[in-house]
Amino acid sequence: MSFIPGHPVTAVVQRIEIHKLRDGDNLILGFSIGGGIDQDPSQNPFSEDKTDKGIYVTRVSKGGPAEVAGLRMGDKIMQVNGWDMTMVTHDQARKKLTKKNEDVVRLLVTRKSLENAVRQSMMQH
Amino acid sequence: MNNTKNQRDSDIQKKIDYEIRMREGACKLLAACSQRDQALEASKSLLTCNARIMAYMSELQRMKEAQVMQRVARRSSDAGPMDDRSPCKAKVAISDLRIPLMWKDTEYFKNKGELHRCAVFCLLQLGGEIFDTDMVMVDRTLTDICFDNTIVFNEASPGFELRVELYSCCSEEDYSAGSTPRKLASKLSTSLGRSSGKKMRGALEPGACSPTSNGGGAAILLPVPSVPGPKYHLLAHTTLNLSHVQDSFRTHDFTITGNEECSYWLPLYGGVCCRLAAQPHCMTQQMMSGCLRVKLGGEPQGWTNVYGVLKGTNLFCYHQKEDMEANVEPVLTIGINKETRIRAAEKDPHSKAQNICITNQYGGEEVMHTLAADSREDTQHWMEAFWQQFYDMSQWRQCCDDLMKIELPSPRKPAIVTPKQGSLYHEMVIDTSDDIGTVTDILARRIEEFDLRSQLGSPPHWMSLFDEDPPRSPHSHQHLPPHSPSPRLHSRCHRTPGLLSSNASLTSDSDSPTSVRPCFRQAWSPDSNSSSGRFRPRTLSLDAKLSTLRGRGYGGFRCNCQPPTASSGSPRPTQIALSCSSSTSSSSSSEGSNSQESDLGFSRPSSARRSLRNLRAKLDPRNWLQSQV
Repeated sequence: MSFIPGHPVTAVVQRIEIHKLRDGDNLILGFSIGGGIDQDPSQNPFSEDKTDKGIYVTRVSKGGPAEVAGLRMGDKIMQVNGWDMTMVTHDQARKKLTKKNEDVVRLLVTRKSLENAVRQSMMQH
Repeated sequence: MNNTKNQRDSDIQKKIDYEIRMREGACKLLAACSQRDQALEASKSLLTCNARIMAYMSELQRMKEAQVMQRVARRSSDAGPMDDRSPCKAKVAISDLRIPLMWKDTEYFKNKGELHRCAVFCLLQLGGEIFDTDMVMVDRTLTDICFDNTIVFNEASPGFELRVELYSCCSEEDYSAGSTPRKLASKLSTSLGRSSGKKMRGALEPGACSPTSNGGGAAILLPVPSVPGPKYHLLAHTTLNLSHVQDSFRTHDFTITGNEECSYWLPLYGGVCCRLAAQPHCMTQQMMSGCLRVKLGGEPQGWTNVYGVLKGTNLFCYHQKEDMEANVEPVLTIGINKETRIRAAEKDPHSKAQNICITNQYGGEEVMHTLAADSREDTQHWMEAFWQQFYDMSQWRQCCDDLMKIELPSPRKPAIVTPKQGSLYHEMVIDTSDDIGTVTDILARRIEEFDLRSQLGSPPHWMSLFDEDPPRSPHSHQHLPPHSPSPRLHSRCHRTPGLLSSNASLTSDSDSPTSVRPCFRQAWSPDSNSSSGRFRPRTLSLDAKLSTLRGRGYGGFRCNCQPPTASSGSPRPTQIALSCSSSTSSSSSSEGSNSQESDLGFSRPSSARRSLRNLRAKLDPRNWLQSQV
């Protein structure tokens, strides 16, 4: 999952569809994000590559819509509803996730375990 | 014999009198109280008192009948087998009652009207003892009815029958139906709308709703004297016995009386889960104890004196009686269970007593222990005890395999009041992955950072803006980066305050809401006069530490604030503050300054606190921001 600036990124991703939970006026997804191109990447506890400025899932509320949909802590979000998340500021990422007129967000996330699984299954052939 | 009978009679009579007094009190309370909750509780006590009176009266009846039968039997000198063995009694406990509900989707989506609420409680009867659980309000936000009470019945026999009954009472509107004359009531019910008319009718005719009322087993209930106020109706019942006893949770069938037309109806799934445990006395008490001689080792003639105690599935042999009281390990433990075979042997003509041979199967091997008592009577007593033990075990079956735990509710525990038994999504539990190690690591790192910063030299030039405020008296949390989460406008207020992370830092904020805070300043100007003392990391209680850290999430208490870029000169902190206080901070990104909201979204909204925290978050360059979505 290492990326070289300027080169295309390839990753094994999982599609996660989160249905936002309506709580009065608010729409909740039930997780927290960290990271962004305007943030200090060395403080990201979840990234493998400490220069990775991507958006990571730092916390998933128990029983919330995100956990139910399969999101896990430490996932890196690559896309939200088609919008790219690998090269965005923190606030831009947050905004793409919290649009009020969208009830569902479809994420593409990647995690180390996915890569390992695919690599292992490829090695068996 | 007569004396004990009379004693028992008067005992029961006393109990009946007591319950009658309680019933009168409950009736008076019911008539007098105005609040719905009180009325429901009083009605519940009334129902329980009635049930108990009924039970005691029937017990009296039974005793009188037994007396008569005995007299008859004696007269005909038909001495039945007098040495009938009776099994030992047991303590039976039922706990963690949970009754699942099955709401129809129409309840959720189409039912825009009032919430259909019912007050429910369970009545449990075993033998002559009747207990009621606490009352629970049930509406469609609940998926299960849970009763937290643990109910313990003493002195249950192996053939016990534990009757569980669920009573419910509709609690939506105030149907003081008892006072409405019937003609008027029927007129009302026909002229009202269909559903409310049904409810009225249901409330007026308590018996009509259950077509199978009193069809099967008689309900424990006495015909209640007409008392105004809410009336409970039997919604479901079941009977549990020895075969249902298990050391874990089990689901049992619930027979539902009543149907959808009744006002007190709840959509029960049809089962009840509970943990029914039994501790027979033979497992918990010493059934027999005395001095024995045991052949230990391989020597044919070596007898050792021991003090034997028969308890549960073991015969413990201690060196002496005092050892047992002092909880010293026994010298020898012989298992006495269903597989054991015990024999009295006449082998030894020299000794006065018989030998007792106990044979057990350990694995594939047979192990035999030989014991001897001091005299013939002792031997006889021991054999009797062993036989009684075997009989008890055969009667109590699975309860004698292992001792089941019964937790007695401690009377001093304060009732944990949950404000609402919320649905799944109302309880968002904060991640508890932060353990002590992480906490101390994080704290240590914080301290290091402060030390680093203190060596940085002069504070940033915009600090001068905050100089006017006098340093505040130290709160204990000043040294922590005070970035209590800033709530967004659509803050999630439903999180229970108990889960709030940053109570620690919130208290420090509460004092001067308007000005930008010097406690913030202290994080930044370590060489200001009075701050050096405050800079020392205070020792928070571990609870406060954990709660502050938990709320901030992993590593999250490093707010990121990029320092205003050098090109923009002296930034306009007041503007930043203003823009922070509105949560739609899109404007600030265009300003070039960054409006990250270190947003962990837990705390109580307060615009001043928000602006303060945002400011702190912005101005700390070493933080890695996290946002809650």
